Amino acid sequence: MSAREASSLPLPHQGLVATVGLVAVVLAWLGNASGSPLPTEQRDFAGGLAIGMALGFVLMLAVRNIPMLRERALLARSDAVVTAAHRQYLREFLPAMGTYVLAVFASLLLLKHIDAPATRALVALLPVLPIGFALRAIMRYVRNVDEMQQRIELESIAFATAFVSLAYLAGGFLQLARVIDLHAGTAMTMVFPLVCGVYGIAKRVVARRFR
Amino acid sequence: MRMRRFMWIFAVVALGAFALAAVGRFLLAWPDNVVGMWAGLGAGNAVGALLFLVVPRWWRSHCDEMYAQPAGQRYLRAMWPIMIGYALTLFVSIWSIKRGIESVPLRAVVAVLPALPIVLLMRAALRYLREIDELQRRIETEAIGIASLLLSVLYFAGGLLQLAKVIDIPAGVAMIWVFPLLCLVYGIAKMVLARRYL
Repeated sequence: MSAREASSLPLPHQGLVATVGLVAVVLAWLGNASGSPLPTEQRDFAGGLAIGMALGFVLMLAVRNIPMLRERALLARSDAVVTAAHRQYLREFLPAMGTYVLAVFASLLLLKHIDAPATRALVALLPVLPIGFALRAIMRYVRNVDEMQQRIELESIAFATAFVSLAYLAGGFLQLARVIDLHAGTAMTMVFPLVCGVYGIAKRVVARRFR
Repeated sequence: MRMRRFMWIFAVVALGAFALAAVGRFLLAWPDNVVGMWAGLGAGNAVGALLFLVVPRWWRSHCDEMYAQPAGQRYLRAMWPIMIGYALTLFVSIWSIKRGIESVPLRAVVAVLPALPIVLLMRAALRYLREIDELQRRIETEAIGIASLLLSVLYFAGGLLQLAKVIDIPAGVAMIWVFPLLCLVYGIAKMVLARRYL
């Protein structure tokens, strides 16, 4: 990696950024403007999408422009030797996540029109399939990286799992004691994102200890 | 050898609990729920003892070997008091919450109490993980990783079904079962991996 590349963050394709930005603005208008052509009960959906996209933009701008975050990102970039395993991982993981987003939309739209329980179950489980592929990509990545990296990954996953299962145990006791009142569906779907989030944080700590 | 001893401990506790239940039922006229509790304890321990009989012999001897190592012995010594403490705090917590605690913060503290021994258990497990040799650690962490991924997907699927109103599981039950299910899948994954590596 040359010095110039190491000192700058890669710029996403400008056309892509512009298109996504435009889509976000249109969605925000559809969701919130008084003249929106959408029926009232569908406005929340468009508005929520717009908010999510806006958050993504804020995050991107923050990483690029706040010096502290920028330095961190640069460090992580120059730190990670982009190996063949990593490239293969991205090639498998990103399409899976893209399909996942599409599957969530398809499933949500279809569920509104389906009443038979068996079909509902099938359609509801649609997004699980791409997640399965994403997990396969993760497993393959862990198998393929070198010994040291493998140890970091596995220890981080173990820590994240321990932490999340413990939090859920405590949360379950609180729920049964009627101290908190979480929605069961939300609690269950959040296991995976939470494990991923804690894993990401744990990995930084574990990796620092090994270097 | 050690595994055999565990089996006998479970069997003896089961017999003791059954004996107490019988004495309470026929001699001391205890209320039905108390008799039921002791009978339930006996049944649980009896199932535990039977599980030791079900596991294959190669696995039993492998476990005996692991627990004979210094790291394994330390882990076991740490685990017994923790598990007994867990059973006791769980009992106290359920009992006092069933009696009714008005103050919400107090109820929260009492409800979370049984999670504390599990924190200690995880600390002991992490220490064990650091003390064993490279190959064993590899098996352990890989088994945890597989269990974690499988369970995450299972819960994700379950959550989607719940959101689509196909199934209806109470939130509290779903949350509490993350840890036991994780332990179960981890155990199975470890057996498979140990078979492959050793």
